[in-house]
Amino acid sequence: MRVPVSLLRQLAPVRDGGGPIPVETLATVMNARVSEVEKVHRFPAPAALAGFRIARTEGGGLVVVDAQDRPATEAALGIGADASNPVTLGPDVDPSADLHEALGLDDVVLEFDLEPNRPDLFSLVGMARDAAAIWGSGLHLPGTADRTWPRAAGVSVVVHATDKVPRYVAVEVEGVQVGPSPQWLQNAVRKLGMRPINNVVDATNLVMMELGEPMHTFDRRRIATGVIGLRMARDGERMTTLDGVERTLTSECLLVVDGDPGQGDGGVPVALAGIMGSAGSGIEADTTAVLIEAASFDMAAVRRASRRLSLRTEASLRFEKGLPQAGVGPAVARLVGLLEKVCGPQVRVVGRAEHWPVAPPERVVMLDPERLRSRLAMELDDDRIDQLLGMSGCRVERRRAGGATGALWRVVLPDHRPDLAIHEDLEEEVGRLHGYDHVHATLPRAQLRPVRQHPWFHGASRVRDLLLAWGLDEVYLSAWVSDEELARFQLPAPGPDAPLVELANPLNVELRYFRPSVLPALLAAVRENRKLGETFGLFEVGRVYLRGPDGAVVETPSLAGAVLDPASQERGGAFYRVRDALQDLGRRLGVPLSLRVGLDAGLPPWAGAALLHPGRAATLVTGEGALVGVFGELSPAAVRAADLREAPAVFAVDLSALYARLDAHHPRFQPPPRFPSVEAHLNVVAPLRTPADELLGRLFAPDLVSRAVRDVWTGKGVPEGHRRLTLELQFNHPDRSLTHAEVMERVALVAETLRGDPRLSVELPA
Amino acid sequence: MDPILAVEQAWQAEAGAAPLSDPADDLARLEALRVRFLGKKGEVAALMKVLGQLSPDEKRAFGQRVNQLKDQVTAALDELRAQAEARAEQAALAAGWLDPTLPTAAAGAQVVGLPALGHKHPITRLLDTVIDHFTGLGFEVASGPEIEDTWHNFDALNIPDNHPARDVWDTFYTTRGEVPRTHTSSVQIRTMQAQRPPIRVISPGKCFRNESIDATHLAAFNQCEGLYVDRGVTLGHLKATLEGWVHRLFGPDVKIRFRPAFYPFVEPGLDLDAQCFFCGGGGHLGDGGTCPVCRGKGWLEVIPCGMVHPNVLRNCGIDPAEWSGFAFGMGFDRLVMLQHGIDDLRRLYSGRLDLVRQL
Repeated sequence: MRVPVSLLRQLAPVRDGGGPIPVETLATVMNARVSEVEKVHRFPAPAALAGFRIARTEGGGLVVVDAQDRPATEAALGIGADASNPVTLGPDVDPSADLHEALGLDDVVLEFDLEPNRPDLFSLVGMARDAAAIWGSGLHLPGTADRTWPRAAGVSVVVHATDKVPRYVAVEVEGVQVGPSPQWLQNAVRKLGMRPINNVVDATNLVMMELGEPMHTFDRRRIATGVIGLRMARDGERMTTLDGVERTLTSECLLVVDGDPGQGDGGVPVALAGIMGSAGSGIEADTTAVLIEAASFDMAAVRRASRRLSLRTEASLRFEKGLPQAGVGPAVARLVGLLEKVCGPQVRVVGRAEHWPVAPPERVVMLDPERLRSRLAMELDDDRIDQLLGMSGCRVERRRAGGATGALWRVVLPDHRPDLAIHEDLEEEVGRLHGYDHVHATLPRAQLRPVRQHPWFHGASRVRDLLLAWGLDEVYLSAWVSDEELARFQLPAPGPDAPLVELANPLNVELRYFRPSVLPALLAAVRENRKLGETFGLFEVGRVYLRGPDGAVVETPSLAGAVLDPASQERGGAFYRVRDALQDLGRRLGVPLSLRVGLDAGLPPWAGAALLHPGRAATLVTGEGALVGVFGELSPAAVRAADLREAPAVFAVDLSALYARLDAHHPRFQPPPRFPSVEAHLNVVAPLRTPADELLGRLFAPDLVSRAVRDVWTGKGVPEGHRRLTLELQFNHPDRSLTHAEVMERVALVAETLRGDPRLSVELPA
Repeated sequence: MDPILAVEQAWQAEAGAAPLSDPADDLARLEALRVRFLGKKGEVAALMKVLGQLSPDEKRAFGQRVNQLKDQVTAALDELRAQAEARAEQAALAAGWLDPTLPTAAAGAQVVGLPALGHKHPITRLLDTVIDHFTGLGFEVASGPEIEDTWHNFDALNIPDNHPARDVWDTFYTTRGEVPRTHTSSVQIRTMQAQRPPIRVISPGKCFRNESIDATHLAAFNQCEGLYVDRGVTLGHLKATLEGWVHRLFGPDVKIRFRPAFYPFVEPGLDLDAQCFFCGGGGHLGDGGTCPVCRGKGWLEVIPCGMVHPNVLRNCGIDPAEWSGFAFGMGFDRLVMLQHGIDDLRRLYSGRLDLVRQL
């Protein structure tokens, strides 16, 4: 909403001790107490217009031209955004007048960003009312005193959609001379952000901006039957609106028609109520008689129709926020007064017709001033509260009415403030007008209570810290995947029974499904970072989204990541780094993770198992065998699908299992052995694909406290298809040191446990 | 001898001689065969030259037979190629088995070149600060579904269907009518349904809005909301609580101010502005240039907030005559953008490590 300060001052002559409130103060304070001042538009100084002058056109009108005698636009003059239409001047302007003065440029326009709950602020009077309340000035309404006119003989209003049209007034005016507006009106319209059209339209637009009440002016000849009807459109009914677009209507659209809606075909549409007139129903150059429509329409009905037709106008913008029925009378009075002033001496009201079966009931809030003060944490005396509410248009009755907290006031709410309805609304009204800078900031006193931690936050925090400690960097990735990515990465295919969460209105096809797996986004990040370097690790803590068997969305807390290191890829550098990081994570969170070599069958989609190299992958499970995650090197096919050159090791983990024991993890302390341990080695030659853990798990002997693989050898001295594992064994006796002979005895026992297996050959140490 | 038969026999000999033997060069051998038989100067092409010397009747029969042969060879080669590719893939997968149970040292597979300590994403750092600050004040951290129902995301928050207020949120819907939450206020509703006041809770998390994506707008973003419900909660409590947070965030001397704003779930509804931490509130830098952080305004709009609307309390079964509360929210991405002078929000979700390693 654009508010020219000159017009605001006419309505509310705000002053402080020294004179009119300066524009800067006006903007700052209204920004803090009314609504956000988005922009302050200033006009060019007189000197900046030196190259322009007023000239007469061949048709006799006046326009602004530049030094080359070309017509100048608002944009060229620097006074507005319109860069296509010449700036015209009213017939009342003296061509020798000073251009700056004629255009009324000694002014500033404040542009407010408005919230949808304050329809009253979409008007100068609404703005002026707040300004008057803030600075305690008077409020001068522009010629809105209700006027009485006889009932129109030739015009009647027949409303069929009564619930959508609480009030409708039609006023017939004759003797109108259509022509350009006088300069003051053109200037006002232009500063309000519109283009001057003719005196009737400009006057109507000015009243809309002054009072927030959109009215429509029909050429009287277009209401041929003399009956103005209101009804809902029929589905498929067609109408061409003022902007020249033919529109197909639905039964959600409220229509103004020429004719009784109950007769024949229901009358000819002349307007989409509250939105736009029909083509040809408006004011023409030769119009002399006018029908003014001023009405109150159901806000939801206007909103639905405006949405349905994707047609938003200054009028619909206001109607859909709810306009007061009481605003209709003053608006008509103001418009008739303006037409009398700007449309020639013959203007005369013929009569009026009205539909207003029931005036709305009085709305009342019982106000507890004590509660208001305490909730706002402001020092406010009763008179100040009373004064501010009064300036807002409330009628305050400070009578005594028994109540636990003392005296309650009866506050009658003004029609023009649909946002005021409950006690809290009055708190806001008083608080903001008095100024929120007066709120006393005090921290609340409250009872202490233990703060319970949510595992999805403090668990995630531990997970992040541990992965950072393993040298991986944290990233945030997209929550969505496309059809193409689902196919390329062998994730569940879309379809009516697919376990996918699909958007009905995605921004674009790339962002259509909530990700069932992090891998597509993760691999895109790997590709992106490969441009920056060869070796890196990254991870993301987030969620994956799938539908369960019952169709409900299941959001799983997810950890996913990748490590790329081409230099050590062949020996599995990244692979082992990931394995170590994940096992460390499990151990520290109290959920030790066991490895299952290769990929389990039937892994969930988030695992992305189809993308992993089956011989360079493993499944992570809890001690109870529940699935926690998978990791592995990307398969050659997946490397191609991801448009990579080298294979990163990737991992995908369901974090819910890892959050199970966050605060209940207290590992038992093992005291160090009292006597030194003795170490011994044992070589085992085993077929290549025998996992080391499988061998270690079979080793038993008294006092054997630790077993591990020390070294691996393939090649010389080892048969094809085999490898030699050097096992490191530690022996410790709780009560004494073991002798060399005892240790050798035990190593022999260990070797014995493996000898039964024909696939293995065991070499005892010398 | 019939020239076609000769070529056919030559082909049969090749095809019969186990053309797939070594995954390493099967594909090369198949290509050689294709050139020999189907290439421009191949044996089938040579047959077509014979065609010119024949009578029209002979031409037709001859041409048909050559085409049959050509189709037969093409189909056989395609089939062999598919087999060869599958075998090459199998061979690649069969080679290089890794024993996942082997210690890294024994496997001799050290990664060299990762940072000694990884880098935390700036949004996480802000999340850590928020959680630390508000848990210190006795707030709990709550979580809830990102894919919500319309009741929790809208109706319970005093945003009825077909009300202009719903337009403020450009909303995604799933094909089954769920709402990817437009704010984490839905978590506050779930909290109020689950526990009785007093309630002190913050709810950080991911939210979604159907907005075209540009440097300052994302369709998926992170925010954090807070809720305090108790007896006798006032605007003064809200102001002091948020003042403390702004001081933690931007520095102890940064001033704040409230402006009226409309959010259907609070009344009064406010926007909290913080004085620009970068220019100190003047809107200009030392050299006279416009401050790039606040764009000359001197203030940053950082925290929408207000007193919880009684309808919201009622919708959660809390009596507004007994209890009142305040609520607030803040966009993490925008705060991070302001803190670090990031020019484009999309960078935060690009997955690029140069960003996280810098900040």
